[in-house]
Amino acid sequence: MDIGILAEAYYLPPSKKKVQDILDAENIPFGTFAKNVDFRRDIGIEEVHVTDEMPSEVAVKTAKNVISKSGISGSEIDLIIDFTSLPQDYIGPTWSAAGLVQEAIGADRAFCTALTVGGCASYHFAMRSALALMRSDEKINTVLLVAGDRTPDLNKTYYPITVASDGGGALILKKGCDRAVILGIETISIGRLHDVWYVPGLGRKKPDEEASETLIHMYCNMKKFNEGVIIRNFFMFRKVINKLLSRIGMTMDDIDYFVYPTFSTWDQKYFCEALNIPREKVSTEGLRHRGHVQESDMVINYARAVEDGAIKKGDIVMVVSNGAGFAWSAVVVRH
Amino acid sequence: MTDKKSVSSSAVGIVAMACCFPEKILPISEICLQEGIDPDFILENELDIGQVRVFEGEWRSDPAVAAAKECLSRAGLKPTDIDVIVDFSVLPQDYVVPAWSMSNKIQYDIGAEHAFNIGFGGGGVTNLLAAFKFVSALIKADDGVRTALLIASDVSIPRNRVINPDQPMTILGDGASALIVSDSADVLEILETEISSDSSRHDVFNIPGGGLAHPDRIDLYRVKIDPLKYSVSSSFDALKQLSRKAADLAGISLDEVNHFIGPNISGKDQSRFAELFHLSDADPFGKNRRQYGHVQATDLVINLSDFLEMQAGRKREFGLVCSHGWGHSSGAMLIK
Repeated sequence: MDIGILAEAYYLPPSKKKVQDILDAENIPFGTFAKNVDFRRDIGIEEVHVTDEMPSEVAVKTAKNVISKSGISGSEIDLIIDFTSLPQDYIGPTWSAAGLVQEAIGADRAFCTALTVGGCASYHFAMRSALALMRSDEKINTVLLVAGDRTPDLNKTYYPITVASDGGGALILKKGCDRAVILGIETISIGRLHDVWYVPGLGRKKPDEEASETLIHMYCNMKKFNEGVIIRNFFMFRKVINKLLSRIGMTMDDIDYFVYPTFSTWDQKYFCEALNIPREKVSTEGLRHRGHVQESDMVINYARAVEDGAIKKGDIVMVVSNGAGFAWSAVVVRH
Repeated sequence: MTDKKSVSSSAVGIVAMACCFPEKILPISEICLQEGIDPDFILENELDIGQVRVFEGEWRSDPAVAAAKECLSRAGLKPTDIDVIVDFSVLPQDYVVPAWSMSNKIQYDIGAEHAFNIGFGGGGVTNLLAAFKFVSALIKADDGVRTALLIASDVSIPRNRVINPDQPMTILGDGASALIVSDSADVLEILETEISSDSSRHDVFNIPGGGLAHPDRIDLYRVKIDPLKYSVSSSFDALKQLSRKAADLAGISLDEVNHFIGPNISGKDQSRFAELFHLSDADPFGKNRRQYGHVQATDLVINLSDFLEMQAGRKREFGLVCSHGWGHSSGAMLIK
């Protein structure tokens, strides 16, 4: 039986902040760092969404949006997977926002859990796990995947990658749904790069160090990032895409549209060039006024492309991402 | 991956298990001294835990690496035979989860280069049962998965072993465990796994400090169980219901289940568990609780290993692996 995406929705807090102000406040360096790229000059993000809400509140609003859009009730949901990738209200894996989401939408029959891996690719890991359960368990028919992120005040820049926006994304997977039917999904993990990006937390506080919010800031091991991620990033994209296309008997020419994270102008440019994809076939419009919403980029960019008519009924769409940890992932759907 | 043309009907089961406990032993008297608790209070609250193991290294994931390697060795498998690694840890890890995940580190440390890595959190001990449910599904319905490695490492926050010092509910020990699940197991077959969540108790077992709600409150960076949200009767009622459901789905009656395996929370918790399932041997794994304390879902693995030893040479019987998850996330897995 086909499994499709019944609906996808997002929540972006109404408040925005200018990226140049963020870069100033966070002391992001001036000048070029690679191939004549200047982070401050070339990032391509002018503003991002910001909020004081807890990540769980963002997730709850997002979940309510997708429930409303899908036309189903919370009690129809059998499984909730929280695929948030940034630190939440409370420490994981002890706690996740899934329970709060369950309560808020009245999903009283659902089992809820959190997918605790994958960075921005957690979208695909959550989907792959959900699909397996839906295919093998006749009692699991409707699944909610939801994420909600809020970055700490002075930790919005993930230098040298992107500037993060607060927000959330959610989708409903349903058996027998003929919209956005999932044709195949693929994920690859490279565990050697597990600590390229990390949040130290109070558990890593040194004895003479003061407990402060900086301990839940995201940090980058630049040497490992340059030597481990940059040199293989597009090789890994090709690998995961080719593996998926080969298995479902398609080629790149069959893909009508690519949904891709909104990191930066240079990243979008390299992605199109490295994979020989025309720019108009890739979701890039959200970059300027939104920036990067972690794992929710995939949901938001898909939803926006549908709203804008870039994705039409019957189109073959590939949603592709990488994620800290590190992972590369792709899913193909027939919209 | 991914999607198999049809869902496999092959039996999925546990091929091997291993636990790793640190060498250092801390008697309860010493823990009470460190945490300022009257030892008589531990006795009064019927915890029946005599000592715990204590990890003193830098990286909390280290015991899981050792457990994973031992598990592979027991299974006679190579690291490259593993298709997916699933983390079911409960307590804080090397870095903050979900921004970081131990399963990625384990993949690297053991050389499981063909695996992809996932993990499930937010469910306490029931994380293990959630992991079993998803792994069984992946093996049955995902072309890329035949063999899974499940891992957890749980190391207590310093001076946070006695949970709820005013009314102690358990004492946390450190340790790690690993299991290999595949479609070629011939010893412990997983028949059904049922899980449910009660959202009103989402924070019954929680660490209030260190997340975005209280990022700099080191005083709140402690595991606590909310006594107002933990209801013994509703937790155990939910567990009984799930157990019946798992048995029904497998086409047997709960009366046909010979062995009940739960976590090593306390003597008092075990008494309720024994009463719930009318156990003839009220405390079959009491020695594990007394020597290791409560090591989250690793309790289930060490008890399951003992169960397997007890079964050696006997005809196949049914066992139920259970967790009430303090009433938030409950699970029951029927095995043969």
